[in-house]
Amino acid sequence: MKIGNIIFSAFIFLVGLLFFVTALSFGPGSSGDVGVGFFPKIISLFVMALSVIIIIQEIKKNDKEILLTDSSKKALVVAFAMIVYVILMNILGFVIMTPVVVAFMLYFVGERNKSKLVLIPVGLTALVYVCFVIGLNVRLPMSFLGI
Amino acid sequence: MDLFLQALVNVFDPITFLLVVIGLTLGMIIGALPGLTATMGVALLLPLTFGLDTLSGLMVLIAVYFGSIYGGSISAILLKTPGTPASAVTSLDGFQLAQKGEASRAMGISIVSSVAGGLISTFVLILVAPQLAQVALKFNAPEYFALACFGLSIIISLSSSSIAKGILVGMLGIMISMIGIDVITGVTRFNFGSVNLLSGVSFIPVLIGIFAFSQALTQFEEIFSGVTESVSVKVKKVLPTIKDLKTVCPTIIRSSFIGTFIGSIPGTGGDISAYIAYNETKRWAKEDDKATFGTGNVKGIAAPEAANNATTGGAMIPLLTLGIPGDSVTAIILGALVMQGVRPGPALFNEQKELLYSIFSGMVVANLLLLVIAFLGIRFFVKVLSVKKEYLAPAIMILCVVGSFAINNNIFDVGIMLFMGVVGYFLNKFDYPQSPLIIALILGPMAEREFRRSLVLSNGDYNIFFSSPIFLFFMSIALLSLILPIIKNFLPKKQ
Repeated sequence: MKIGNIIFSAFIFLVGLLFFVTALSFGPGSSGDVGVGFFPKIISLFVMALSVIIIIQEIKKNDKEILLTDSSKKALVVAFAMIVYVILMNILGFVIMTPVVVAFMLYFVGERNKSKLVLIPVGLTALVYVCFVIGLNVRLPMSFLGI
Repeated sequence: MDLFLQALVNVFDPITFLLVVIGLTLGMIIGALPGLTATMGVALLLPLTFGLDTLSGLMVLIAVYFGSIYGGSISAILLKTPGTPASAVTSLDGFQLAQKGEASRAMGISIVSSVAGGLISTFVLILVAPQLAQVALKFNAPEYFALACFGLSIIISLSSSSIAKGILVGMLGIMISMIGIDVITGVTRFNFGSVNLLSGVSFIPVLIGIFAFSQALTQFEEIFSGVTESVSVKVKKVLPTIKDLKTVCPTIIRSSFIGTFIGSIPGTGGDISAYIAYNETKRWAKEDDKATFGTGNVKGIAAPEAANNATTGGAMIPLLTLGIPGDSVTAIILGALVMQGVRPGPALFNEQKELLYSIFSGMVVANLLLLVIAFLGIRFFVKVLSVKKEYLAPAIMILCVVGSFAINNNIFDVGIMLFMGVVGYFLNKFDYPQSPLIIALILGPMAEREFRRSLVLSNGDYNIFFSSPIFLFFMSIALLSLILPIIKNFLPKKQ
């Protein structure tokens, strides 16, 4: 996991840098206050320093270099599907999109039984709808069709 | 006494009572299922409590907390896979006993020990918390700053094998918390031009992402790599015998106090107290008894189970008296309290006595109900173990989306949840601890606010810190807990 860890730490370093640079533009505080930028500067310096330390630690290790295993790539496909689901849900509504994405996930993990591929997604959607929309008055996104 | 009577009336309100029963049952299911932790359960259910009144909402979360810490032992005993990290030690003797065909006996001991642990710690909470709150009333900005640093440093040093990674995750949490309006000056910072970030990042989507969505992703990964467990044990009579109860009674009492004490230290949790209680029990055992630990000794089940449930009451002590969460679950409960407009801290003990004592009574009632539900429903909870991950993981993902949307009816929050979920997945994968991030989200802003408030009070004079003995005390422990592990690294290792 060496490379993956290094990329991740580098990403965190950049986030720290972004915060640090942004914090530089904050003005000083008044009447004893150290100002809005004081803490962010210290914290982001720590973040940058620590991510460099972790990168160095990782480089020193002699692990096998696997960026992502097959199963974690597949898990990320699921995460991507969820992102697409949330975007489409905002347009097409919860009731239409939820069975679709659940059926996709079930198919993706190897479920091939047709009745299960229909009943579980529909059942789950119905259950969530009853609990949240009817029971708790949550207004989930609806489509132009009004459902 | 009147206060307790009124509190009991509040708790026995039919709806609150029913919600506690539901919460305990859900908690036990969540705890029993490997991969679903107490933190995840409480995080997923938090959005559901918005519509409820303060007491009912809190009691549901507390019930889920109690139920899931107990529930973890079911799978620890039957599958050798702890349902929650807190039950990892239980599997040592629990699974061995189950292998000898005595699964029911192991379950019985675990139920009784869990309930006893929970009750003892709740009583300690009721006795200790008001006294501690009186002391805490004298705390001012510098002391609170030190307390926040103390809580952060403890969780960082305990939660991670790598101090650097622990601190880094904590700092990331503080950075997230800095987005939005600065409480001292009212200036908006780090919103990077986004309107949605003007008021900051909501706590709950981050929480659900880190603790629930990321876990569901890990479950998918496990499904794809073909990791599955199955259970084929029949559980019959679970009521423990008088003889067994006599054997474990001293163990339960000792472990409960250990669990309560460790739970009350910010940053620790059920896993650590279970481990320490197990070791202590072994140390106190007679020579011939000692050898049977790890082979199915009932004391080896009673000790961790009493201790991990005792952690629940212990963790509530700093939460209610100081507003500092004892572990990641109490961090979420703190979030729930704040959202209901209740600010935990010493003032609570003067201003909201009725609510406070209702919570106390509710905790006692919840522990007693746990006993009833666990004994009556144990066969059902064992069946739950056969629910396939393949069906569970998609359901959790949908609940994550709905839960994070429900807070503000805002799709942006769902985006935050997804983003933090993927980040949490990688944190997990690359061996970064997750709990410092959540604790830092709460303690980070507290540290900054109190630090700056101190300096405003003293007009920029740093002596305000060094003239406070309480500040010096907590800061020294904070520094020690971070530096000691680093020094340990450089010392020659024992062979």
